[in-house]
Amino acid sequence: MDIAFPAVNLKGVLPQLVVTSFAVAGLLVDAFYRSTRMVFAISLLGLVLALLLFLSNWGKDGVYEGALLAVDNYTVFFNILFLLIAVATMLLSLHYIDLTGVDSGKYYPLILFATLGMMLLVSSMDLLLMFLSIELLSVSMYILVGSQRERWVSNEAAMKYLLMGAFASAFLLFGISLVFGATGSTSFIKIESALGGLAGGGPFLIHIGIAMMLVGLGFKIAMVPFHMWAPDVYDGAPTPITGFLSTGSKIAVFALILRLLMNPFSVPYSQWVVAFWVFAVLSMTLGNVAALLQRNVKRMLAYSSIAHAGYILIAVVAMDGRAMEAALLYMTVYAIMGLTAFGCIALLAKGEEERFSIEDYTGLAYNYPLQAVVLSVCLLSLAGIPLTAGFIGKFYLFSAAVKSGFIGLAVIGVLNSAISLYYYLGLMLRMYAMPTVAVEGMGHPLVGKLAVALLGILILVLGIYPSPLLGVIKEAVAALPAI
Amino acid sequence: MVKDSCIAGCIWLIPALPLLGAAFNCLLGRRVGNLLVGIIGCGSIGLSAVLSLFIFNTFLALPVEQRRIEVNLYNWIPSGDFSAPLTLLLDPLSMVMAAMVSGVSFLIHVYSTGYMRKDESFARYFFYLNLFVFFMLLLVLAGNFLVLYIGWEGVGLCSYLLISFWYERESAARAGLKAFVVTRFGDFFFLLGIFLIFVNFGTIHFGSVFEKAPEVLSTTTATWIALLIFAGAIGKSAQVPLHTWLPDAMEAPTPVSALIHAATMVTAGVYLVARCYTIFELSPIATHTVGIVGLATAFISATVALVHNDIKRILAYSTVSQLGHMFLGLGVGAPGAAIFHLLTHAFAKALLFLGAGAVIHALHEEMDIKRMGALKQYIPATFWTFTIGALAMSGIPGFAGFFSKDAILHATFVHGGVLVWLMILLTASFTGFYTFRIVFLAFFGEKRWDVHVERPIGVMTVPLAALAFLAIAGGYMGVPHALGGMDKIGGFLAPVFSSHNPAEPAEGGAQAPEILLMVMSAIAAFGGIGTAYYFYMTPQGKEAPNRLRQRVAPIYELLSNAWYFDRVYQAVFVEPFMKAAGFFWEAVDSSVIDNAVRGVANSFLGGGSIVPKLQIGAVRWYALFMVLGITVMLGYVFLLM
Repeated sequence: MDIAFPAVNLKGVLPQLVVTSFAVAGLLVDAFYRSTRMVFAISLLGLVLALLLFLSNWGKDGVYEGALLAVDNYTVFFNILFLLIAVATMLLSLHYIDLTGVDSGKYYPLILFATLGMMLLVSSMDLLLMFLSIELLSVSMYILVGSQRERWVSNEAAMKYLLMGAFASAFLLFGISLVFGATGSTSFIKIESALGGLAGGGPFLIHIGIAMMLVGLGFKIAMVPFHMWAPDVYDGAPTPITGFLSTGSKIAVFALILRLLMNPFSVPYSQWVVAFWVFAVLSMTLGNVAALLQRNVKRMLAYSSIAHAGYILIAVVAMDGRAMEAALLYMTVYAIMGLTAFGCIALLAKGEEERFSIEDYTGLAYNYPLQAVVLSVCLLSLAGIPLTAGFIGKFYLFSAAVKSGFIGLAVIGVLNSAISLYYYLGLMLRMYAMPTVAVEGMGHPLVGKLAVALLGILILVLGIYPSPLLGVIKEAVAALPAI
Repeated sequence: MVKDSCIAGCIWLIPALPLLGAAFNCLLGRRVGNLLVGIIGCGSIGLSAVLSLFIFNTFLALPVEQRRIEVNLYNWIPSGDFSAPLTLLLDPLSMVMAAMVSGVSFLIHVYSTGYMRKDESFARYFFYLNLFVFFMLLLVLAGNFLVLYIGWEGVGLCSYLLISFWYERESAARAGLKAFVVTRFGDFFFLLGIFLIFVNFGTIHFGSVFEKAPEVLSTTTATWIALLIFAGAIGKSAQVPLHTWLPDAMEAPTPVSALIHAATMVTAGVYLVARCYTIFELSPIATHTVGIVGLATAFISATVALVHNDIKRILAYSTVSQLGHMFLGLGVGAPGAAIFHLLTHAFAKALLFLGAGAVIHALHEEMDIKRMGALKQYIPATFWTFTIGALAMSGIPGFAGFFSKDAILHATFVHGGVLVWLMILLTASFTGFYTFRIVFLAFFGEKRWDVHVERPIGVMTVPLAALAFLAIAGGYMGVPHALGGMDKIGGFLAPVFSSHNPAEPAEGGAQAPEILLMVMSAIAAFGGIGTAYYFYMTPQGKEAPNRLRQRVAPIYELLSNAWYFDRVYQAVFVEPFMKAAGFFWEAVDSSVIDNAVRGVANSFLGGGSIVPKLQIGAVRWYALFMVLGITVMLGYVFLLM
């Protein structure tokens, strides 16, 4: 029996290989030298190298026919985004893990592994690779969430995330097998050609498969009603990881959903518009309404993150070229906002206990003006106030919805933005109110402060001068098959 | 071509430099000390001024048909057929405005470092002032209505912030609010005008709008658009009936009055009408309205200025009156003359305000001219420069104001008729009277004060001298043909206002009456000054003002109450409005609307309290929800098939 080894194009996967080897190197260094700083440096170097390699890949389109991976502007765009998110997460963690007793040796390599999972996920052209990438991402995340071994909330969060994640993965795998059964292949390209000729949105089995897969993927993006784990896990995880989880992991799965709906499932998708409409409305509304009365800032932002997933789902409903651009823009903007928000909270950590209660933020601006200003900019952006990146993102999302005829959805989105103002501005007002209790000092984490300041500036710059980013996104979307 | 691109490449720096200064003073101003704040504040404007003069110089070397450079900085939110580009436009009109704004701003910034040196909010002051210059430059350099509107609102905001600069004073806080509300009232109509333009043209780009205006607009539409735009100009430039905010705005620090409420922001309305002149030309009704409003304002405010005793208020009414002159010029078809007057007035009035500031400074915040006197010996530099400003303001031959006022008077005579011209002539003599009333009462006569004089320091007198020079020399850029001049400024601006330039005298014969008109206006100005001299400088005239006041008591009452505008507004608008507001607040808002809003809000908050209750933390419960979700979805799939 001949075993045909697939031809491996090393150049296409070089960045992924770099990330893998640096992650392994980091683990080895940790095992032999126990030097957190060195692990940090090695991991950061790996990310930056991969970033440079990807930058050189920009514009060199080409789906690797028959291969598992696609390397085109769409995947390169997201890969760069994930690497940037990982870099930001690392910088924001630097100070935090010293303070809060995180098991630091494996922490940075695990971030790299999770990033690798995201990178492979968005490049997948095959359901099996897709599943493996999701598992790589998830397993790394389970450990990262539980990396504060001294704190029971962190352990509880990791446990819950693992149990629920396993449950969701089972649905995903079942869905994949049904799709395989219906089409006889796991390759995106072959699935598409198998479904292409069928009228009426494809066979019954494929729809059951899609429904099952949607449970698994919907779980990862914390879409209502598969969101229940999110507040508990976001709350319990170390704060930089909460940021990483709510931006990187979510965006990776969203990027995959968009590609799936664009590519193999474009035919059955037409039957699913109504379902996505409902998911979008549920996620937006439930997320925002639940955030209204939260007294814990991390939980509030967790619900806000559910609402933002709902906003991105608007683009999934509209699903044309313009909506794709809006989705990519919103994800980028959301990544910056999420990292900034959780980054600011992480910077306010003090010893073992962190400041999560909303009361702790009263009068914060008087002691920590920089954190307060950046967090305020970020909150305004999350609410979608003009001259911030959040406004640009929402503007494109809602106008894409209107242009595709989903006016009701856009109206619900706008109303939701109005509701969200209540809790975003509430937190902002608190920070600038007169302090009731003296806020205790927590040192001056220079790197972290610099990182959030940069992120805050980025929010403003993208709000005032978004055109370069829009240009890049246009090219990234152009790489996908015509809609 | 090389020059072209060189200019196009650096236009954006003109407004950007002040913005950088503002950012620096806002973020770091309180930490770095006043010296650096002053250096950055003045330096950023100074660089911007040097740059705009340099560009002006290059610009002049270009052939006339190339003197229109447009730069599209970037497109803010391109989305399908809608876009909001940030466009800057450099043409002769915006060029002279930018040069004037940055230059005068620089001088006033330098002066401010002296005037405000003891104020504890020094950094905040320069932050606002730099920000103002940024918005003002954005306004004059705008290439479409969006950018213009950003600048327009921005200068309004800064004006508000600076009027209320000493916010601990209730009168200052109130004056700021009044200025903001009254000008916003005009802005609202201006915004409607922009909407109407967008509806009719599908664009707000200056070039396309003005080019297509004659074909696209019917006379009625043109009238509507022009009147709406003019309403915005009335508010911003303090014309009757929205002029009442400007005298109150004198609560601001004096350099602010000089910069914002004399030289730059208040002239934005004139600039706006001049910019949109093509649209105004299409509607005789609109042009007439502009002229009539200008005439009424010029006359009414000049009369009010006759009887006031507060030095800054006199100058404020004088500003309103001179802005009226400019609008009259626009109304009688002489936009070039209006802009010329705008420039000379900016120099002269900035000079007068800064001089008044030096006087106020010297006498420790004394503003009543009845309690001044004999200051000539104490602050001679201020005296001489102030007098030059007064001469320029009154329109004495040889000084800047004379040439520009003459240009307006001439156009008025030709296009407005003799009666209008006579009214303006009368106003000119009033102008001479009230400006020299200040000079004689403040600098001559006996000493009616008793404090230690604080002499102005160098950084205050140097800008005075520079402005005094401009108040003389500024006129020579527009010496009329009748006096053998070239009217350079008129010719330079002419391409902006299309073919229309009726103030241009016909060659040859028409010169005799123009010279005659000039003589008449000079006589009027001298008449006003002479009367002031008789009243306040000669022993026999000493009793004359009192006698006159008794003889025409009703008129005096009318004037000292500023024609009762404020009182009427108080009675007709403010009080009923407050009453209605009170009614709506108590009867409608708190009972009906609040309850409705609270009801909605409470229902959401109620939802907010339910959702977390589902979040009990038990994993099996969460899994149950997922199962519910998949059940519903499967049900959906079965229904679908």
